[in-house]
Amino acid sequence: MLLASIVVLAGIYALLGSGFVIIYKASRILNFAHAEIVMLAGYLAVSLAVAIPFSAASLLAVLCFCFVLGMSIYAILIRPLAGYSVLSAIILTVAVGVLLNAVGVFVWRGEMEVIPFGWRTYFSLPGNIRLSSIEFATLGIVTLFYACMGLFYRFTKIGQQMRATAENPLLAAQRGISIYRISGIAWGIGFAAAGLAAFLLGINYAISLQIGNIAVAAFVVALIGGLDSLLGTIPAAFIIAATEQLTITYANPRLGDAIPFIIMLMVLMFKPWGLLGTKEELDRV
Amino acid sequence: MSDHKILQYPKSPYLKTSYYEDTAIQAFDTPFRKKCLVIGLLFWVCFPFVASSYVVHIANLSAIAAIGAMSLNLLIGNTGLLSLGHAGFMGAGAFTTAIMTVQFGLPIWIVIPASGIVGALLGLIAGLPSFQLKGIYLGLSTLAIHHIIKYGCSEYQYYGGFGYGIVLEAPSLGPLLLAGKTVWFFVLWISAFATALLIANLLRSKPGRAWSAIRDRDIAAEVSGIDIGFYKILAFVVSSSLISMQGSLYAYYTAVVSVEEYSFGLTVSYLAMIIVGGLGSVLGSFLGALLITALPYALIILAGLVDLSFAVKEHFSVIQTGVFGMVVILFLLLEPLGLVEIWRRVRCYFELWPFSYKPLTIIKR
Amino acid sequence: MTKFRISIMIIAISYLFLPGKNTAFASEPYVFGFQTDLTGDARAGYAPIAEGFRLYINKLNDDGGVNGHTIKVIYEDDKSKPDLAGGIAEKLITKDNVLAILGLGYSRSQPPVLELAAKSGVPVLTGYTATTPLFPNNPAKNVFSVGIQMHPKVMPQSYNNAYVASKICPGCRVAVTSFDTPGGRLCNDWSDIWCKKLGLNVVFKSEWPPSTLNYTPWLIKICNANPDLVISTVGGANYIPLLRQMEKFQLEKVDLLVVDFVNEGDLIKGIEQLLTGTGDNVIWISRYASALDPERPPEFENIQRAMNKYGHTYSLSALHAMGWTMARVVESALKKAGWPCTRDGFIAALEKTDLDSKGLTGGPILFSSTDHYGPSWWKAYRWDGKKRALKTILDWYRVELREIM
Repeated sequence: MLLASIVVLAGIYALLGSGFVIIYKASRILNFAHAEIVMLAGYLAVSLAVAIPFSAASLLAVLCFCFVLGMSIYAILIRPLAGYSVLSAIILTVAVGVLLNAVGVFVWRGEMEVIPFGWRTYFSLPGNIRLSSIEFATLGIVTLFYACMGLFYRFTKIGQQMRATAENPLLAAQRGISIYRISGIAWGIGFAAAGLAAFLLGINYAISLQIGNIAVAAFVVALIGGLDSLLGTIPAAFIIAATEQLTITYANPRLGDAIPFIIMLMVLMFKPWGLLGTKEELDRV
Repeated sequence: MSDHKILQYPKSPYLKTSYYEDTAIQAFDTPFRKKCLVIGLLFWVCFPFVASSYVVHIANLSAIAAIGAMSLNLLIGNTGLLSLGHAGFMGAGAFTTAIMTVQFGLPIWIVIPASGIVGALLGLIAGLPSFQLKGIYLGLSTLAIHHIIKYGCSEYQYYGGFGYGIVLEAPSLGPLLLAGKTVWFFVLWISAFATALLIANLLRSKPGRAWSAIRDRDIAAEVSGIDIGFYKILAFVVSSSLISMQGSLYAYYTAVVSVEEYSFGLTVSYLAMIIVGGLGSVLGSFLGALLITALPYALIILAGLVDLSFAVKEHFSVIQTGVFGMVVILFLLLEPLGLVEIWRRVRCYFELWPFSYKPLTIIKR
Repeated sequence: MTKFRISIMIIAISYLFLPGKNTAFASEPYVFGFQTDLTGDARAGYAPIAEGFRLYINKLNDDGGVNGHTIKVIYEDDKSKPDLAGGIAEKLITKDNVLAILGLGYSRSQPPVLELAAKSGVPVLTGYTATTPLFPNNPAKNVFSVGIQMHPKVMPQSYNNAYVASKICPGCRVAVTSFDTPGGRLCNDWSDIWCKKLGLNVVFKSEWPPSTLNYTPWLIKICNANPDLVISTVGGANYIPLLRQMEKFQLEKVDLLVVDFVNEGDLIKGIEQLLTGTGDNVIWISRYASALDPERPPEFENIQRAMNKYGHTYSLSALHAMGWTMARVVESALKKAGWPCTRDGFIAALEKTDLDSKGLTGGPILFSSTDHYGPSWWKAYRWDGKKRALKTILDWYRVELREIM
């Protein structure tokens, strides 16, 4: 039962972590506003799910909203900071997070909500495991997302340009790739991943102001996996989800919040660029 | 001989001919500055007796914030090392204070240096990854330390049986009981000024120059013979020990220590202070601390001028948060050098004020 | 132009430094400050109280006020932050010169306010909790409460949890859970102590962080402990995910005893999200009568009418009844104190309070000079899934804190 829950949680962590990674790969900026995007998207999904009976339609609307939000935040706020230190861009994302948080609370009051979701049945599996259809769907969606992203990076033109930008922005720009456009799209995709994660969180657990804590754990996931490695988030998500849930179950629940960071500190000590991340110059800030 | 005579002429105070003159603290060197200083000092002494105790409270919080902002600015602005764990160091100071006063009953003049030592040790630990890590990775490792400190503190609060927080009694410094806003006003502001003096002096001596070199280009700094590992650790130790002592003062001032206060949001507000004030500037830290601390209260007072409906009041804190985020974003986009740059421009303007010529230093943006 | 701007700024800034005028004595209305968590983590438990209070005051002012004077209430939001709470109290006392501070929220933001109020002799009437002694042997001179006394030596809500549990299923296996906040832990420790004293078998005890969304690790342990009843001192809307996840673990037959500081509306919202469960296992304890009880006291119609007239953000709940009663206590004290009213006069008048709560609580609100809390009356409800309403399972019982201390 615990194992099943770890797998589902790891799926969501991986999805959340991938948002950080996609954005970091393209623009070398760690998006600290991720938690707030998740919250905002989640509340939007709650409102839409009440208004629209088709969950697929509301999910699509949320994804579109997140994509546009990501692009516009990049275009309006992050791009003008090109040339300043990356530190200012990071602090800017923190401030954007504060602002978006205020918007979310202003509109949705910050109550804890779940996304009402029609088809929910429980399956009893051998070994006294009980899983809901939502949890199966979550795993499916996460797998699908990773498959799509893999194909996207491999075969589409934009995906290839994105990889080129990630590898060496200067060279990519000289080859005629508009790195601003590419970064903008990457921000859009990263935010859409956050939106998808928010939807899954909302149907599995709940949306609340404290969703930030989960996003913080996801951010540790991105770091452990390697900030520029999409694939790395998967093992990292499993490590974090497992240690966290096992600590809560068998040790002290209060340690649950701190344990991802302890793991992160250890990883940073020995392998600063993460499990599967490429070794980079590490002095960009 | 004649050359020697030329040097005897009185020199304009604005003309600096040596490095030591240039780095001297320029607070008393012209008659105008002396007058300003005396007037400022008089205003400062009278302030807590004239202003209402509410305003004095805000001023006190600003002084505390200024110490924190200066210590964070030392690390981020002057050394170029990112720390996201300063709320943790502050909490460590506050909890050291709580443990030492509540459990051992030690007086304030032992407790505050002890908090400083605890902070320094934690800074040493937090600084160790800086050998290997830079930039955002270092920031994240300090964030991790923040969470670990927070866990330790919450365990203490839990097993110590301190429900809502540890309540401290007003400390006494010799015959003086440190209670009431007015007494604290002087204690806190004198501490803030002392910290400012300490940091300003550090910055214009060897460590400060080494820190600037590390910030500007660490490889170049290493090539010029600076032990970058040592100075990075030193920056962490000084900064975290200062903020730890500040946490101790804060604990004494608010008289309640509870772990929930020292959240990441606190670090964010300190980051906002140094961004708004100006990175790498002591004066900037002061200005930023004043603005960010006073902002929510100023909004409350502004809202008090107009009779807001209850519905708006219910949203008011959101508006405060939103304004806070907006201010930081606007500063980053429009004035990345912060309030201190605005202050510099105003000063330049008034240096030639009655004349219509614009001073050369004003750059039109 | 620049000079104009600068002079306006100077005027604005100097306004900030001016000490407050004695508005409460010089001009018409009685001025009160109401500070609580209008937003913040603990909002759901406190903001409806402010709303209920506001509704009654609006109605009262429209009816002509008290002693011919209206009541002006300055609402302030302390966002559950201690330093902010201290600053706001400072402002209310020195700048607005309020007659009394009302409300107060989250336990941890109370100490600075109470300390300030004690120093300046400002009466405090709290709604939900009061973290200072209010009864036997020298109660805090200026603090009164119509809500729950969070005395670290008694924890009445924990006593009630255990008491109701022992009435419903004497001697059964109990799991006690709460939020992992300082107050929550105290509640949980005391629930544990009281349960053992009242002959229940505590098989599981744990706290979870308020930010928890995934309750799986705890629910697994609860399943393994196999209790007959789960006591939950968790606040607010957390029941929405919690109930749903309990359903997944097939715990819908295990009684869930919910502490009083939950807004029953949140509870119902969680029950509505259930797929197979009916929520019949949910038991809720309250100091004030619930609006969701079909046999609710008629006074709720007045509150409902005021809600329609003056607008509202929260749905009608027992917390509204608490705020409403609080406003009535203020009214009755003002009537006794007359005009002009001083702070000491208001305290003296509050100490003579003997107010019929019109059925919103089990008995009258009674304050005396030795007891600023009075006897409290409690009630337990169970959710009836078929009728979609709360029904009483344990009628008003009186708790004498003096006796259980």
